[in-house]
Amino acid sequence: MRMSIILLISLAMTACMRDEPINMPFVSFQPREIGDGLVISTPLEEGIDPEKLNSIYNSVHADENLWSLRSLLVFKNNKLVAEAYLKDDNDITSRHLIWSCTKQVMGILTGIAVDQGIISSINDPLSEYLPEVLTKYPEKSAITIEQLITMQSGNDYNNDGVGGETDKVLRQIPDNITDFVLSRPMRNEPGTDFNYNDGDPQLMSAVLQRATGLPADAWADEVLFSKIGVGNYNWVRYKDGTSLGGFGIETTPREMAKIAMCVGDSGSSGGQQIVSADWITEMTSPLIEVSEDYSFGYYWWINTSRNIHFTWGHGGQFAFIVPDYQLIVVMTSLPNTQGDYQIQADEALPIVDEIIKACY
Amino acid sequence: MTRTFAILGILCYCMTLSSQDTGKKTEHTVSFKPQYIQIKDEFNYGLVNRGLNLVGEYTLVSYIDKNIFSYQAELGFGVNYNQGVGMIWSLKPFDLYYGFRLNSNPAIQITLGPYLAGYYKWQLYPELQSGHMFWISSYETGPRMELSLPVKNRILHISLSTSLVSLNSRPEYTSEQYYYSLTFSDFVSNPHTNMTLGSWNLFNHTDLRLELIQADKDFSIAYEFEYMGYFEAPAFSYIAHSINLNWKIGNKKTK
Repeated sequence: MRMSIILLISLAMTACMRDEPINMPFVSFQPREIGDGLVISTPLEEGIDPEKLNSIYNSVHADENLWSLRSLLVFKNNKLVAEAYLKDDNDITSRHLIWSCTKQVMGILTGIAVDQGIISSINDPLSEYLPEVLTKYPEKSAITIEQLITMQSGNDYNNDGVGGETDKVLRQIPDNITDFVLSRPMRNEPGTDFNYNDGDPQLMSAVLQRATGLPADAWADEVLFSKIGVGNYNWVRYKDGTSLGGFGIETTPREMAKIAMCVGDSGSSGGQQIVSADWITEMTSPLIEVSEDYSFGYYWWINTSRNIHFTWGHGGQFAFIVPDYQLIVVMTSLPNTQGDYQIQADEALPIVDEIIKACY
Repeated sequence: MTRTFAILGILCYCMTLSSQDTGKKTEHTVSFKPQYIQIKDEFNYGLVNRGLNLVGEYTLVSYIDKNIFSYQAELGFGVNYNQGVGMIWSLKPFDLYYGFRLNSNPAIQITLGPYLAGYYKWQLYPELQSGHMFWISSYETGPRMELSLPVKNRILHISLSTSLVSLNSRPEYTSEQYYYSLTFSDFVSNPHTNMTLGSWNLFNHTDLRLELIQADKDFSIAYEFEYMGYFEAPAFSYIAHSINLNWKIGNKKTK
């Protein structure tokens, strides 16, 4: 009996668990044909050194600093030449949160609304579109559409932390999201300071809903997604029926690439002009210098030194457009990481640099 | 849930009274259990979070003739780490055991019987999972064996139990969500949703406790090993190694 007891104690006291491998082993970057409308090619045919690309994929898989990376896709000349899903092969079709990449979609939708005359000018004041709710907040009436799409409304909305406004939205505490955003005090005069926040694109969502008569997600399906072949997505609405504007889209890296290709093609897709080339040029121009490395257009991020414009979502969701090389690089990551556990643009852009170096 | 607690309370009270009336011994013990824990949740990317858990426990034991009845409850909180900090709250509102004496040797006492217990474990991983709450809850029953044997001038008390049938709740295995909720009512209602009945194909909870008791001392020390595994997606595993510090309180013999 004593031996049994000793054995039992020994087994118990030494019991421990091991982490599952966070990434699958890297096997190949060969894209799969899944009938989603993407054209597939090879790196060699499109002018990318396959050996160098292979080395990049291997090193990304092995890089512990990029442990939360979920996918890496490379498009050259609008053709998919390489893709790998680090966590799960099913991520090729599984929708995941792309967070603030939703803002860049809002930038495109605003352009379509301007093109179609639904919004007569980006200088229009907010009061023209949301007159009823603004009677409660007259100091916000003069905020313009342009200030909303450049994060310069002056509205004191904070994305971060437990005390931030976004946390309250995620917990669905306010009944009416438009009223909630507008009820914030002003932090500065409109048009005088850049404040990256989820409130301004949320107001833009409300403006589009009022102007088009449809929630932004439904209108987006009509004028954008259905025309560029984006079908595998969900755009979450708030409980009051307004589409979330600062975040809210769940989709796949391949569908993100279709949006990026439309922007990279000056607003056209499949021979059809979806949004005017002029709007795309303005939208992706460095209108506001946010830092030494990053500027902001109409909800789009620009790295001027590299001439790259890109979508950027919380956690590390990116679609980089490199016009000089006809290159698009999509990266997605685990979406709910915070602080240092996110993949930042500073960590993702060097991977794009390496891919550019692999181009002939 | 309130009704369950009320029934359990009445049951324990009656057992205490009956044991006093028949002249049997009743013991009350409070324990402080520092634990080294390992948690592996499929939702948290299969990472094993390791850390410290602090648990407070209350135990009532009634000796009824040669048999044993016990009631136990515990409450704990812990912090753990792996690629980010995690937090765990645990509650065991009840653990009822009735053990039948298997032998007549007064030096070595062996009891065997069924136990019925409820467990709740809530987890948050704010740095990896934002405000999304994970949990496992279990209503379980199975056999427990208790053995007391003399070791020099002390008594070694061994308790081993393993769940046989359980009713469990885990978060639903769906895609990621933007929205989350952390109200008190969520803490209460979530672990009662999506309940699944199973046996070892679904869930196992095994507990081994070794306690060294010195006669006429109110303080004792124990080592406890606890394993909890939920095997269907989203899988969950939990291991705790505890050093239990136990104090008998307000004990009396009526005869």
